[in-house]
Amino acid sequence: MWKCGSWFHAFPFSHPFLLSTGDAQSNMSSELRYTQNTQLEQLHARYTGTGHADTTKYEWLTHQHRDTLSSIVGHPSLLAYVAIADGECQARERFELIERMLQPCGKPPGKTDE
Amino acid sequence: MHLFNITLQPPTNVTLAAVGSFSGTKGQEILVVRGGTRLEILKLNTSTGQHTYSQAFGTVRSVAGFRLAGMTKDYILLSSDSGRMSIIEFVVTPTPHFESLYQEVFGKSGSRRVVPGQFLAVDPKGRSSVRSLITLRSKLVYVLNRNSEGKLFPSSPLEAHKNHALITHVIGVDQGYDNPLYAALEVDYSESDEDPTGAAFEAAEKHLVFYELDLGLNHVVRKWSEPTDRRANLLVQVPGGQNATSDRFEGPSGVLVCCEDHVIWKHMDAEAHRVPIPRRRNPLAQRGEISRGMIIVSAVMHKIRGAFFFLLQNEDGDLYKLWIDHQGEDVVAVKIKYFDTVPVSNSLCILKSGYLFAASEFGDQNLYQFQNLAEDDDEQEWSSTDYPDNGNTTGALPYAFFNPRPLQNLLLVDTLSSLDPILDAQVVNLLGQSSDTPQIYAACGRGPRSTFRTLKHGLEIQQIVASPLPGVPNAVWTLKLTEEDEFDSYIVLSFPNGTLVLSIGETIEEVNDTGFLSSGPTLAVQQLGDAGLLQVHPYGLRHIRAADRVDEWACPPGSAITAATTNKRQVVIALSTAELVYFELDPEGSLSEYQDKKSLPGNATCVSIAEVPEGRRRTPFLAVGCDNQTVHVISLEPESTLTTLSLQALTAPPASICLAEIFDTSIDKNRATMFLNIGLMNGVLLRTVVDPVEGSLSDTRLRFLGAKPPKLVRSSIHGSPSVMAFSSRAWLLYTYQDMLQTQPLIYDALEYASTLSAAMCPEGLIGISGNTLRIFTIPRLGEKLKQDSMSLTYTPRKFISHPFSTIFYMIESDHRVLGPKAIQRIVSQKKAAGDRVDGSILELPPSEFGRPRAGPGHWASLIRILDPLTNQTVSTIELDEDEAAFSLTIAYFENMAGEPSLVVGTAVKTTLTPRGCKEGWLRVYAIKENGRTLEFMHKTKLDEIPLCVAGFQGYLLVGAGKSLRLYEAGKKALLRKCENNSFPTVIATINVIGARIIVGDMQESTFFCVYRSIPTRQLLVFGDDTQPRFLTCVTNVDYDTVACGDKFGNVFVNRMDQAVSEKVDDDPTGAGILHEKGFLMGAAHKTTLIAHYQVGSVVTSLTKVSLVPGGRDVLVYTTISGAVGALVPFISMDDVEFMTTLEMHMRSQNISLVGRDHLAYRGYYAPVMGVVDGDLCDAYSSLPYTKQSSIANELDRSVGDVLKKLEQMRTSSAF
Repeated sequence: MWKCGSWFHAFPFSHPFLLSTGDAQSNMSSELRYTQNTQLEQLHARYTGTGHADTTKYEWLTHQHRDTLSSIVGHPSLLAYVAIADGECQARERFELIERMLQPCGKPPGKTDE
Repeated sequence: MHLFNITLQPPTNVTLAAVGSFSGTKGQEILVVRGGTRLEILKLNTSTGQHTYSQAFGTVRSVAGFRLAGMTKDYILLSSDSGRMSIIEFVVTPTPHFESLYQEVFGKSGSRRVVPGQFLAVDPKGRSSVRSLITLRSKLVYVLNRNSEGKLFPSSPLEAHKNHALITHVIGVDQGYDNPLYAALEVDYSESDEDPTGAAFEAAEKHLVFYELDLGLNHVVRKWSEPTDRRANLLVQVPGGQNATSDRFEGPSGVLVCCEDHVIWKHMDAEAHRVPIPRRRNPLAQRGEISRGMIIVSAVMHKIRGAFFFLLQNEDGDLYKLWIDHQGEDVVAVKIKYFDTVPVSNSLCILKSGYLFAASEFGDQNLYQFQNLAEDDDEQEWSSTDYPDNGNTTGALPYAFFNPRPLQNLLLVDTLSSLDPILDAQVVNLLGQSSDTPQIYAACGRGPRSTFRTLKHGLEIQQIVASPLPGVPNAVWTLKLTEEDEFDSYIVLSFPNGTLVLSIGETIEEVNDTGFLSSGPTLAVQQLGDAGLLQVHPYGLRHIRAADRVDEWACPPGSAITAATTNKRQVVIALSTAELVYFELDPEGSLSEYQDKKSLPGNATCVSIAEVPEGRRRTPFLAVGCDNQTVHVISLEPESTLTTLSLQALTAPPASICLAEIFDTSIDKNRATMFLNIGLMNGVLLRTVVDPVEGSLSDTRLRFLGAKPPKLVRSSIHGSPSVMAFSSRAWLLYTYQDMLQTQPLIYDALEYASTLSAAMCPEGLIGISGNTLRIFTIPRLGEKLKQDSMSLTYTPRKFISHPFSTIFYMIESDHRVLGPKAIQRIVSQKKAAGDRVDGSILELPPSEFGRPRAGPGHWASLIRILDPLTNQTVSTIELDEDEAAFSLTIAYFENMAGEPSLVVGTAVKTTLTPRGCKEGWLRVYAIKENGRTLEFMHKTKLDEIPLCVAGFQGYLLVGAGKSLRLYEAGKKALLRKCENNSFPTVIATINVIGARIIVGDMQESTFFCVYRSIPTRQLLVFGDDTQPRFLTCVTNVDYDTVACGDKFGNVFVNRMDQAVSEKVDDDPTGAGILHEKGFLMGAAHKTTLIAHYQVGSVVTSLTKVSLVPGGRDVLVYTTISGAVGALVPFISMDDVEFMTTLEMHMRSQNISLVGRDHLAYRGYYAPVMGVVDGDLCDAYSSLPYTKQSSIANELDRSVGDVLKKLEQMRTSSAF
């Protein structure tokens, strides 16, 4: 499990969607490709991070991290907690957390031939 | 288990602030959001520092003030985790309160990534449009309109979404009366999500995007987008648009983009200007070290006489003044200079009256007054024109340096004391005999502004004079000579064998020619009529009408006066023959006796009448307490003089009685209510309401004041009537914010006191304590907890008390800071290498200027021995370079012969991401001299950070990473005896209760463990929790029950089945536990959740303690937002049912200002269980009467009963 907490806490998992086990190396644009059902399509467009059958481990984890980071930014007391642990001011911590949302889990895995 | 949550101290930290004219009057107010949940209006310059507050029952994410054209007051716009945008009005009359005007739903509840609301930007002309959005993706634009009745309402939202964008900041651009324009900082992440090489991530650009709301077409367009600095973090609005009358441009418009080390002025289709952010010289920087860029954390723009300037604040707290030279719409130069240094703030607010409110992110908030605007000082200025291409070159501009200095342009005028963040706390009575309630000791603050604070319940006293007296008096009064006098002239002291009169002038001295009888004690004195004085002594009355004229009235032979009460026109005395005599001032100004005496069923122990009401001749009621345990209310009206109106039986003989008219809106919203206060011999104060027509008594409230029978005195505090009660503590009943408050005074035990109004102290009190005369004032009413503070060096992490002395041991550590040893080493190294070291920055006081920043992994830390009673540090022990203390405990080792030792767990070069350290240490200190000195014994190396340590049966338990270890003390080191490394994440807490060990995991809740030494030493886990919990603190409620607080603000109680608990304790070898089959991939037994509640902020400490003398144990919690609260267990199921029903009715009232569903808020992470929200129930008293009575009807009670029950719930267990 990843360890990016402060005060040695890792961040919470707030996402309801469960990771499908198996191949983590599927097509990266699967989320965008998943458009047969218009209702589902709308759901995906509206709620970033909604999972589907082909969600990869990387995608899921990235969504988790982005959700977590934005939750910390959105709760003043959590932000203060992280700031105290890290020895930074709150504005810097908020900025760095938002910046980290760009690529919270490192580089995406390469494509494999399907 | 059922608990009742009450807030003892609301959150203090300011997360957001906005300035505006919210009340619609001329002055400006500051709206602050405290702890993310509480709205408060702060008003400056009034002597009382008036403020209004309201609980939002939701987390406020963003706030702005706005005003529509043609309106006279500012409205408040809030976005919160309710998924609604709220428009709130601050209403001043009849009582100041907030009113939610409109709540527009825009998304799901919760602070989510997919729900807009993190940022809120308002069109600066306020005229119509507002938009709110988030860190990701969507933006919504609302147009605000007024309907035909002038009411505000937002239109349906216009969407301006961009998929896959991260938004760093959004503001409204000032365009005058052109179409509203908004600027946003956006990064597109879609490409970097798909590029496995990482090149797209490296090449990702941050764009400054302008969105225009076309009011004519009613849609939003993305008007302009340009890449800007990747490290841009903040946008600041620049004034623009043309002045309606003079056609002059207010400013160049556009935005300031604050980036790391630079500030850029940008606007559509205009040349940008860039200036560097000046920085302090770091004397500790090593050669070749790249220092991190400086960001602007908060900014404020201020317009003054057609010009404008900005104040920007960086991470160190340095303020910069930035201003723009412009000609019309064209910018000539952007200039920046150092202004002053104030604590790092979340928000800066400038008031038009010339004040700066800095809402500091941690600790006290300060108010500064502008002395000057740094217009012609000799600070260096940096202008964009100094650089080629106005600074718009690629790459960084050369560093600009300045020297920080003490305040020059600002003057500190006021400080709002703030507890946040409370990092650890203990609730304990260290004062022994002199206090009957515990005090709260809290480690507060961050970095060099940290403090250790002592919180005592009660009002603070400011003593002016304490002078000895010749004997021990039993009463003191003050007297005016005539009705019109502004100040008191005499102080009258009654001794058992005489009366002393002192005159107040330049000095206070004894006078003898006053006409007062000085040979015996006095029962009462009064300024009577226009210019008369009255003395009541045991054998008669003396009415001194002029220097030479004294009317006397003597008691019938064989009787004496036992009690007397007076006001300006009436006198009542009780005789030892169980009779009452009534006098009233007649038109000639002499006292005339009523023809009949009233006989009583028992001897009167106390009598009381209220003041003469304004415009009346007399007060209608007399209250008499008799020794047969009854209280009589007797009429004084002419048609029914001395007839008994009502009677109340008591549980003990009354010692003192006092009628007073005090304002309390919960009883009568328009007039003052007459309260009858009865002090009983057993120390209880009874407070009942007297019906103004019939004189009947109702709504009795009880309160235990102290061990002595209370003496009651009517007085006036800050100009309003109040009652003082003197028991083992002195208490004050007074009106604050239109509600009656009962609070103790933090002062020596007083025998008696009166109001004193003299030139030197117009609103003072004069009291007696033993044989000393005290003159004092109560400077701040309404403050429940008095604070004493002591400053600390670094961020306090934990503290514990010595087992029996009043000594605390505290560990403090700061990350990214160099300790004194490291600083000394670097300075001497640099000097040895021949570098010049400018030490002046190192000598600046760190509490104002901070400490030089260091990289991650650098720590400064110390162990402090402090005396909490005198608030003084006994000594400190600085740790080694980059070694930080994380845990401490008192342990008893076998080889220490029963003497306690202090064990401190430390780690060297700790980094948080990834979590790790170079090495961990367990330092053992012997405690000497009753705890006042520590002697270093030895230290033991570990491979992990020891996050928690605990003494256990002559051993030491250490939680190091995933393993729980047991150590025994050796001569030179601790010796590891056994280990259990089956814990899932990291051990965060260890609690020892008897032979049981309760281990709290950082993510996976608690584990119940036992230690078995036969056949081999083993630490065995026999029970755990079914839910993941990110624990921060754990405390034992009883042997089988734990109360825990977690990182998300939940407090919950878990209980282990008693049968399991007994079975485990009866198993001497642990074989049964060891071979039990695990359940659900964990231990064999599970705890059950019995209570759960979300308090709204990270819980940092939990203590089980009794807060009032004779009260039950309650759970006191503290939070990182500076709040202190308590969970009180219910005694009876009737109470549970009543409170739960009341809470249910209160929920249906939707009182949340932000429209958050209360049940959803309190059950944010897991459903509320077994806890009633007292804050919500307390809001009952502020509901309109019709709603109150309809709820009371549903409960089959009267409104008074409900209010009484609420008060009782609070006062019986807390304050």
